[in-house]
Amino acid sequence: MSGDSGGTQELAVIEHTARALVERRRYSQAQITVGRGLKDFPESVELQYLAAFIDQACERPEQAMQAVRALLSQAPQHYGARTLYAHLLQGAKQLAEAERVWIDLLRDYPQSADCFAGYGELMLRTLNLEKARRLAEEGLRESPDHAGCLYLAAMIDLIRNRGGAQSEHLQRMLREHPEHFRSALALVLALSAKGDDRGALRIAQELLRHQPDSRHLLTLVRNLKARTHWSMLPLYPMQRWGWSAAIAITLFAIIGLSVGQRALPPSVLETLTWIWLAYVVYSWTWPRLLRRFI
Amino acid sequence: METRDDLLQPTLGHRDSRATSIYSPQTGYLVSFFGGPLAGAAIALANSYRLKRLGSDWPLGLLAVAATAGPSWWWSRGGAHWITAYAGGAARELIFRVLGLGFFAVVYGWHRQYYRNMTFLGLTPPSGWLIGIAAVVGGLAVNIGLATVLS
Repeated sequence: MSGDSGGTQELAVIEHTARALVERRRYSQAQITVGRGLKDFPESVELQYLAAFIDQACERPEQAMQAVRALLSQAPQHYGARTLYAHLLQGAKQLAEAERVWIDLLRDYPQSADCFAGYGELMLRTLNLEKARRLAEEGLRESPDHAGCLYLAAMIDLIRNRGGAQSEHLQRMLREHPEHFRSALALVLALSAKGDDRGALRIAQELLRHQPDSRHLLTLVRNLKARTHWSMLPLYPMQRWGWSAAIAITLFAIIGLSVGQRALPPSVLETLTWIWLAYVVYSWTWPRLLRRFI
Repeated sequence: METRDDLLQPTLGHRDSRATSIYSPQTGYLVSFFGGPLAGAAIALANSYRLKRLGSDWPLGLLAVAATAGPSWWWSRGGAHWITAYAGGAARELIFRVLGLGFFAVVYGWHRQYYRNMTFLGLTPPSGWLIGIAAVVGGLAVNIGLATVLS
């Protein structure tokens, strides 16, 4: 009897330590703790869940998927395992199955803002913007300051061109969760969308220093570095106003050069045509090359 | 009014390989420039199909037909003398390019939030080469055929 309670206590300590390490993102230490714990307590659902979670966090999705499937066969209603499974399915592009898991979760936990945020992100990733907005709204109704739902709503605002001061969700996200990684990420995207790529780059670089293994951040920093490079200055209109500027410049050039056939001397027209062609080639090739160099 | 239960109905269906991104603006821009409004409409409507929005986006096809047939008819009736006076022999080609880009501007505005969605989430668009080349060839063929018939 006392041996049993000693074992239970030991398991509780191991689980608590492992959870604390995972929360602090100290995954290698957490993995060692979980591994040792699973040797003595292989049936511990919590330790199995943490092992799968660590695999996912360390970008080992196949191992994580295997572990979470094994865990769900033992404990099919485990909330954490189910949410992790939905995220892993999404990462593996099994989107319809991921949706089924999110819907089942929301039927079982209709007040879980985490599930609304998770399902909403899946909808955003599959370009179902309106449904993502409704899910964020429902999640915020259940938990008005939920970080995941605020992030989702802020992203939708940005996509609908309501960034910065116009996005109440972004402001709330920054006010309520200033320490949250996603607050900073949303701010980076909002600044870049507003045309302040240098400001966005400074924050993104700072984020990358804290999470040097994040591929997403690395790509973001690389893109922002390319956008702020001095050689991109001739392409400023396209960077600032996107395809609208590209259309306007092309129309201006082709109409101008056509009208110029009558109005300009041939040598001037030829020079202008070559300048225009060089600009077109530069605008299509240089940004891609620059991103590879950086 | 949509209820919460409506919100919990599957959107992605039961297929695992459903399209989750659309052809990039680069594809739409190049195809519209080289193939005209009809070619641009082929890409736009392919995107609408992928977004399951054909029911609301079909007027884009109608607009493309009007933007191709209307100017061709007008040109065949000799209504473009003043453009020829300014732009010379390449006037017809100029109009074709301007209409193509103008049509892409409409499509871009129409699907803008989906393009922005893809940019913000870093989603990779499908390769547009095959459909792009087919659309340009088809667009040019229809345009030439129309010009021949009307002249």
